[in-house]
Amino acid sequence: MRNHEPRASSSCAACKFLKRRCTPNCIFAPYFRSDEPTKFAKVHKVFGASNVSKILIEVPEEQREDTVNSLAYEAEARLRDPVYGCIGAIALLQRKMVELQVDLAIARARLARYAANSPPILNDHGSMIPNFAEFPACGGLVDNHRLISVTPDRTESSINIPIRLGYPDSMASS
Amino acid sequence: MTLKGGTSQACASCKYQRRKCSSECPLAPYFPPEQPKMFQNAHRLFGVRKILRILENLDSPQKEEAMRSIIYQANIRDRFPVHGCLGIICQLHFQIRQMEEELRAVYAHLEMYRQQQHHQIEALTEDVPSQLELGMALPQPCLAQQYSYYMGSNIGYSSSFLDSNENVGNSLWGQHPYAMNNNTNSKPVIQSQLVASQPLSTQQEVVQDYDEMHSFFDIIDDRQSYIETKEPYDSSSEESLKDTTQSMEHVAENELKSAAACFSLTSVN
Repeated sequence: MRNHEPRASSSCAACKFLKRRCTPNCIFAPYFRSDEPTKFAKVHKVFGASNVSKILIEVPEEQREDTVNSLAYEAEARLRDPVYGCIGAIALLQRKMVELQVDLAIARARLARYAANSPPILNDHGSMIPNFAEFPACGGLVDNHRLISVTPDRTESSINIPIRLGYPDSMASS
Repeated sequence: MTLKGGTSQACASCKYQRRKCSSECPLAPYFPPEQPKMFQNAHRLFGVRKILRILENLDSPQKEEAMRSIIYQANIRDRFPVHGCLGIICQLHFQIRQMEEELRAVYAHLEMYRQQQHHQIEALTEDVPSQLELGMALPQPCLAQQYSYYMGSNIGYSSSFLDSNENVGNSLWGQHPYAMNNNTNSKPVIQSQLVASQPLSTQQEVVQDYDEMHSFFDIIDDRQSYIETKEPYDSSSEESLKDTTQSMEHVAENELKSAAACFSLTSVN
């Protein structure tokens, strides 16, 4: 008699979507669980399973989950906004940061004017509160109001501040 | 691979795929042959078919913007294979929060200076009780109102800025299940401001900001002019304060003299 082994419903969302057998070594399985079918569907629609697989193979195993999550985020952004995708969010944030820089510069200039014309302000203990205008601005995180070139880090475990990104034209020659 | 009878080279896309590049190649305008890496990055992330699928439902001007964002996104993924654009967004979000905190601190410091000046003015106005005893009505409320109006206008500017930015931040960000947890409290979400329903002019404006940052320097010029317009107001308020103080002193002196004359005429044993 044939033994009918019970079918294990352990196919990951990717293999279910692709309608293939989910092997124990499936590269998608740890990151595309069967209870999140739309996650892989979106990633597949934007990037394709083959590309995602190649990207995952190229990164260390401990960083694959973050890789998948960032791809899922970008995929969803591109589906919502086919023209700009997640780049639109970057542009908006850049603009906001520049506006903040301007406001900060104005406020600091005003503070310097006050400090020059007024006696020092004392705290409750009678000590002088340092002039805020003398403090360096925000660690020099933003430069030239643009994202400028980055030092490539293939083994990134965290993104260090500051980062610099080049514009497409300047990055093309790499 | 070169076109037959033509001097132009095959685009980077056709070169990579080792096929003939026709004059109607849809990717030729975006992947020049001298920039093969750019196409390789885009191909590695999206693939030719996915790129074409993105482009097929877009108008001509939108296609260019879409290709630029695709190329940019692919280049970011090449430089940051793990986090890609999401890492950049988290980074920017963190930096913005830092700057907002710094701005709040500077405004708080400014407020302390304003309070200090306000107390100084109050001390000056309290310095003339003798005139009240002499029955003189001094324009103290007018002076206080004038200075408080100046402080209030500045405080209103700073607080309205913070409020408006918080609102912008809230509209930009929300909850996203796939976002990474960074040092920020709120999780970044896909921006919803740039959607197809928005007019193309808005998108072009944003794209212009994304591509060329020169427009942001116009904002800096406007702010400088705002400082210049405020400075005369500052000096005028300070001058009026000095004038009023001097006039009060002059009146006090005259009153004392007249009071002394009255007293000498009505001396009592």
